[in-house]
Amino acid sequence: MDIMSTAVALIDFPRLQEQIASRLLAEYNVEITRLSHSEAAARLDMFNLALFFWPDACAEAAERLNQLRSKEEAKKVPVVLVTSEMGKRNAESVLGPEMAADILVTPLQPYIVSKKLAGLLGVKKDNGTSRLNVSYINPFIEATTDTLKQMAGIECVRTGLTLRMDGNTTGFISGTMGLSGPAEGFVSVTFNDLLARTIVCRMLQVQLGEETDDDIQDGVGELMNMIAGHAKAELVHTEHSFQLSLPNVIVGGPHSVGHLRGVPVVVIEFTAEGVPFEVMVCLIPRKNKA
Amino acid sequence: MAILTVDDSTTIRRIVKRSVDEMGVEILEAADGASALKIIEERTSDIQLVLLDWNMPGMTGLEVLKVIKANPAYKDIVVMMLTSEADQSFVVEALKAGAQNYLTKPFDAKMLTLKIQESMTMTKA
Repeated sequence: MDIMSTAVALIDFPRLQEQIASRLLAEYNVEITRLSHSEAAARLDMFNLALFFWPDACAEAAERLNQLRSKEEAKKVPVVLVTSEMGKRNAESVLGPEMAADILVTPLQPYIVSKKLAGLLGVKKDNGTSRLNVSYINPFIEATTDTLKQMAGIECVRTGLTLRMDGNTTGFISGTMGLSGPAEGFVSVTFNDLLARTIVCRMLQVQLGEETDDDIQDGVGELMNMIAGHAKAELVHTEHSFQLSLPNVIVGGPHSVGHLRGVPVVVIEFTAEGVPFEVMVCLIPRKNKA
Repeated sequence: MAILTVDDSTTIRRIVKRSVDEMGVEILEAADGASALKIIEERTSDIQLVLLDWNMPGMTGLEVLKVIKANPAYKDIVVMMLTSEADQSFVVEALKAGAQNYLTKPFDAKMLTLKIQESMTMTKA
């Protein structure tokens, strides 16, 4: 997901709110455009995401949002309503999920804005008009799914995509790998203790309880190695190509798997055996590094 | 007759061992390149196949492969790379250096068995 090429419209934002929103969005280097409601209705399809400021949202919210999407091409653009606590209550009673992708309440909280933004950009990844580029995340999704399936016979499902500005995780055990080359950063996979044991036991074809802690650590490190290697092969001719290094394993949660200052960490959320786990990818082409 | 698996991951060595045990062939294990070369030197006449990881602490799998292929005493030993390095360029480099087979991780257990059996046939040829 190339956040740098993402266009975000701020609709009907007063100057102060625009400054606040712009500051929150700036760390992702999105291209921000301030528009009136009527301007946005004419060209919403040009954007990947729109934030619509309406502190006094009321029962007319559905109509106002529908006006923004009068063009067919604009119907797939997620629009987030930014409103007051009262406006949120009013809007929630009349808006369906197809009308507003989400509702943010002022004052805007940085963590919440980051999380929602990333999730929404993940939704709108390829509709033919989007400028969002998910080309470097998709190989990691495929690699994770394929690795668990082939090595442990476990199906996993991607459930979400978010951004963090750090490498903190609440999971118990992480396999991590530093990446270098034309692009640099790190990738990690984090499980809770039971899921890690379940996966490794399936790989080794032993019963749960027969494994040692060393087995789990080695198994998680090897899973990381395989996920990174699989993704690497897919990215070899892109600006996100990288070289593998030896995996490391961190045990005990919560912990941090690493961080590149100023570079967002894309968190790919999965479930396997009904249990959530996550893969974090922090990867930036060297030419884009400040 | 024996197969040597060279991988710094005990998980992979155990998975390989399970497959090889089912074939009734002796399995030897090494966690790095230097240990592998020592075992090969000591058991040259027994070792029919070496399964070799690429990225390991110390010598890389490619370096180990080149040492094996440079020694005429090891000419009957077949080498199959078993690695996460899946780029075509790595496959080509390994084959040019003398590897007879290549399997990328992750792998299906049946595919591993099939590739090992295929590599063993190469020995006879």
